[in-house]
Amino acid sequence: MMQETLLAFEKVSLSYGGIQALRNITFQIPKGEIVTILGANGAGKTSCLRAISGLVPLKAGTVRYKNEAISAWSSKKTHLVAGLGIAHVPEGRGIFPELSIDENLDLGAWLQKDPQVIAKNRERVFHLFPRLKERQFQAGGTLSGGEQQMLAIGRALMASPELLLLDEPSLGLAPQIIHLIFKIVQEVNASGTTVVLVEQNAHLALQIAHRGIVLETGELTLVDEAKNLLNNPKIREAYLGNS
Amino acid sequence: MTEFIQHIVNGLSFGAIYALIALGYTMVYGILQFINFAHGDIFMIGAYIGYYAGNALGLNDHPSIWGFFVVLLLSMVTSGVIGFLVEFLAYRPLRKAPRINVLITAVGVSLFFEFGAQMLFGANPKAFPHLVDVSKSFYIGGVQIDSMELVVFTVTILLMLALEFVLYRTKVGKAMRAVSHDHNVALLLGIPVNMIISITFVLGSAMAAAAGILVGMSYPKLEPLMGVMFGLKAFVAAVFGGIGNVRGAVVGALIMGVSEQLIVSYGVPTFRDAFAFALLIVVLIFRPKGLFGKTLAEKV
Repeated sequence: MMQETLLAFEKVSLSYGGIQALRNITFQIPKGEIVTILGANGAGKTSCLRAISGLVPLKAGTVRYKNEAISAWSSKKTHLVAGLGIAHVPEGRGIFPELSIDENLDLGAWLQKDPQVIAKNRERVFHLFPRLKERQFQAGGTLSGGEQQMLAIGRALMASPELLLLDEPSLGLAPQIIHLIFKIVQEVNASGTTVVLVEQNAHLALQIAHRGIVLETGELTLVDEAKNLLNNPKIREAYLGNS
Repeated sequence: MTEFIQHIVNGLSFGAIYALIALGYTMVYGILQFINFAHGDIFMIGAYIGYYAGNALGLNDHPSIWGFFVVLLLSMVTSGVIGFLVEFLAYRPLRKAPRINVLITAVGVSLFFEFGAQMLFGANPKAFPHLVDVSKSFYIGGVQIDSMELVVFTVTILLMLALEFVLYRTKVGKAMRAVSHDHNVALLLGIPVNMIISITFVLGSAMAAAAGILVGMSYPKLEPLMGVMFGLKAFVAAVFGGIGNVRGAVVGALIMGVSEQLIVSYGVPTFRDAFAFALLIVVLIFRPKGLFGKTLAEKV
């Protein structure tokens, strides 16, 4: 059975100044899956997400979303990418520390005009993360790291995204919080949202992902189903601590 | 004691005007991290628009409170448009350039306005028309409050409440605060950052124009370089309050207005202008982030 492709990279290259971050990358993200992008520091994982959102212009190649070549305009009109149903939770969470949790969530719904949908999404976020509801009126900056990550994901969900991009959601968090967040990512995916998950923690990521993409210094080295990657001796050695 | 309170009241009315200008500096800094040195000149232009509009409406001979509001609104709207154009034409093309380039451009825009105004309006001082009848004074327990001071307080308080409402109660205000924290994250949420920046310039310029009208009415002498000293002092007030902090700018400006008044009354009147710069030096040495600089600890 052929799966519908939601997002595709076609020979994408990208560089910052003289430093090439992605070289000739091609892959597809099937609709409805969790796809994890793995790789060491500086392999180009974050750059892939930035290329999708249009935060950096491509040097060559095309990013297609639902068959539209969005990379043709996405770096010039970055704020329009969110309107396609793409929500990007950036590295370091990117919450607004001076704004309350409520206000952070409101801004996640910036493009959502229907107040009923906003109310429904807010309820869903509070259902997924009851802790955010308790602290609704507190400034975002007073939250713990884990709560900030919850807020960042919750804010992204306020836009009812079709494609959710998560950049290192586990960074700097305690194991039980990471498990909680990964469980929620699975729930979100089960309700129909496609997820691209960039992770350092390859073991955890492959456990919830359907598919994995492995990058090495800007080049694509492997694309496979997650369960195959978990058993792949090379991957075990390089990213899973050879256990 | 009555005399002291009198000086405080007079100082507050001066400070309120500084505050209107300081808000524009601090909002633009908050959102773009640069000092818009042309801001004081928008204040001057606002005053001149008030001069021409007031005379055109014949308010000098028939002062009226409604006429005053028409002039105020006209000046605020026109200056808002000028502020929008300054950002759009001069600063937006430099959005990705080093900050020093934008700063130098701002100085250039400032000079353009100052000498453009000399060309357009003439270098000789002009007498601002009487927009409202402000000959009456009121007394509260021996403290005299002029009608003009009453006008200043009413207008500044209304404008500040309006700004407070926009910033903290509206979607656009939330977006302005979000953009001032991080442009990229705001973009990822679909917030049109450039539009939010434009709105910031429009609001700041309109507030400065209102200050221009109030200064014109209080000290009815207009000249093309009047924005320099007022602009600098408002800038110092914004730094004093914590640049980028809206409430800080208001508090800083009020303290500055009162201090100036006290220096003139009890100290050395000729040091009035020196005070602002002494304050700037002291703040920069001992508390560079100002009174209300970011104190919220961000957990990582």
